[in-house]
Amino acid sequence: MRALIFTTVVSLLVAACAFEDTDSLTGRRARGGAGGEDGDEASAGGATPGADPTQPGSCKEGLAHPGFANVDFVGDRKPGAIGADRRRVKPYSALRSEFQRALGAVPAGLATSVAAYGDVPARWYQEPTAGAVSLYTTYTLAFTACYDTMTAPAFAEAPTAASASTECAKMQRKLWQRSATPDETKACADFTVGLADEPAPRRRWAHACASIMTAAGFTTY
Amino acid sequence: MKSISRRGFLKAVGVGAGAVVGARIPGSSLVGVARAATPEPTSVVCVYLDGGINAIFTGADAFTNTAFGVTANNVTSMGGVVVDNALANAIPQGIRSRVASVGVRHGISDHGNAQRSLFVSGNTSAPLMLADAIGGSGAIKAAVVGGNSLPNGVRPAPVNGVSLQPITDMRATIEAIAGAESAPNLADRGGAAKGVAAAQAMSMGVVSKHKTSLASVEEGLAAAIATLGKPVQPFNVAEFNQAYGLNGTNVNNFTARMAAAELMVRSGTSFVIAQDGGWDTHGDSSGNTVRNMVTQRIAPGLRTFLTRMVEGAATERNVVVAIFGDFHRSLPGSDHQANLAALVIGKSLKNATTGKTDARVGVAPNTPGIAGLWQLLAAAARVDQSPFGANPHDVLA
Repeated sequence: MRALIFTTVVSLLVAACAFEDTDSLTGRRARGGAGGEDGDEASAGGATPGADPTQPGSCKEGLAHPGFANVDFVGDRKPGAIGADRRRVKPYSALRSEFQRALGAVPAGLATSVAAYGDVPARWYQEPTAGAVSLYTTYTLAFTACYDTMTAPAFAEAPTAASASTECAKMQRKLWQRSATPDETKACADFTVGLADEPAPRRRWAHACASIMTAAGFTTY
Repeated sequence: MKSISRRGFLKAVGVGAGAVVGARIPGSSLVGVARAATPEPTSVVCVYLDGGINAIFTGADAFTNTAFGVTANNVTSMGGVVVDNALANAIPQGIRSRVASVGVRHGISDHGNAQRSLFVSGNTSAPLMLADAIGGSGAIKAAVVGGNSLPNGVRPAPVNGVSLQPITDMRATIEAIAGAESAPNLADRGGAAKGVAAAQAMSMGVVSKHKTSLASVEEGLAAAIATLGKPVQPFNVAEFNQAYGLNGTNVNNFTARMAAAELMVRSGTSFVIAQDGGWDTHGDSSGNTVRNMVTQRIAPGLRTFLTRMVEGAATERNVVVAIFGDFHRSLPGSDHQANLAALVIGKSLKNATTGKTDARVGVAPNTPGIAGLWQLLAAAARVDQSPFGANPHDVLA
């Protein structure tokens, strides 16, 4: 008899779960539109025709979560575009391996620069944030590391419009782990070519490298 | 990078704070754009005691021989403002006539709410509103020294381009302001200024898509560019280190925070906040816990700062220091009292009090609330247009 009751209860629970619309929890039911960063769910259908699927209000995301007094405890969440505000500032603890990956060397000053990025107490988490001091520190550390590793003959030649564009694109691809947009490469090339008051070609290239490493493509993930 | 102590003693620090004094340029509210809304270089420095402030530091005579261990012998009277000697000893004789106690009847007795509420005006960050109103020529207009947020972890949204910049290391700060030594593999100031600007251009696409999560990157790049674009003036690092007894550049204790506050004030920053934790002093009925904390942690750095930047620089600049915390400590057990007073020090103040409590740590019913504190600070900073409204506290000289 006890076994029968147990089996019945379990069966009812399983049935209840089976009737739950799982898509309503994930938002998959109504999400649709083109791909992009969340394109894996693009074929689910249900979006307003012609609407930008990355923008808030164009698709239904899950159900309300009413709690005590029928108050939706996520009701004050602001809708955001899909894929927006996902990038974060890299913490200091990641920079050592990131410099190693990007340049094959870690600047000596990195070890003594923890304070510039903000000390986080042991066993404590703080969302990393950037500031003028930490970004300037990244620039100076990157400049030293870039200069010390830019020993190839190409960097002994003053940059031209063509060589700056080529090298900037190459460095951006390597340091950011993605291909740069034309505007991003142009910003780097214009800076490198425009640094005409710097007489040492290698230092001009090091400035280009440091600026790429100070940009959000490297300092965030 | 080498340590400051091994660097030549004359460094250049971008101050130029008086370069454009007296001329407010309409519409120039972007970070780093020189303007001044005050008659002289002006900074407001908040010393925030995270957890609360005992009323013996803002009106000790309310408790003489009755509570918190106050006697006639362990307090100092500065006009009508009576302050426990632990803090009074940190105030130089020359500015004791410029000390006021300012009451805040906020009705809040929980830490989180108090910490959040004390630093907003409406839905906007009060410190950033004040920094924007003060203006000035500093590239970094508002700074938190030794941390990266306001109390309760609040990172406020910028106000008219004025953002809160974290200052956690003075070496980097001095280099950011003054430039590093010259060597083939060290970045030069001019190149770095252009390089960071290029980094900003390269970041636009990414930052625009992640406007909220990368807000600090956007603000930091703008502040760094503005800082590196500033003119320089001599700064004696050795003398600075000796004055504060520093042997490192990490801003990891209160004395270092006050040293960093001086650095920022001298570079033209309009608002600086230095916080100290551990002031939720339940059970401190004798007041000895907070006396010892002030004596050991707060007084050394505060005394040096007040001596150099308020007393010593009175002819050059207007520096207003406000010392307060979440709320007063209540009686009998030093718990949470739903009001507070700020001890405000500066040449624009006079000896007066609107913050003296009664013997049960209550303030007068007509004591202004949080808005009144910011109204007073804006008035003490002598801004030409206060964003907070008229000052209700009669404590100005």
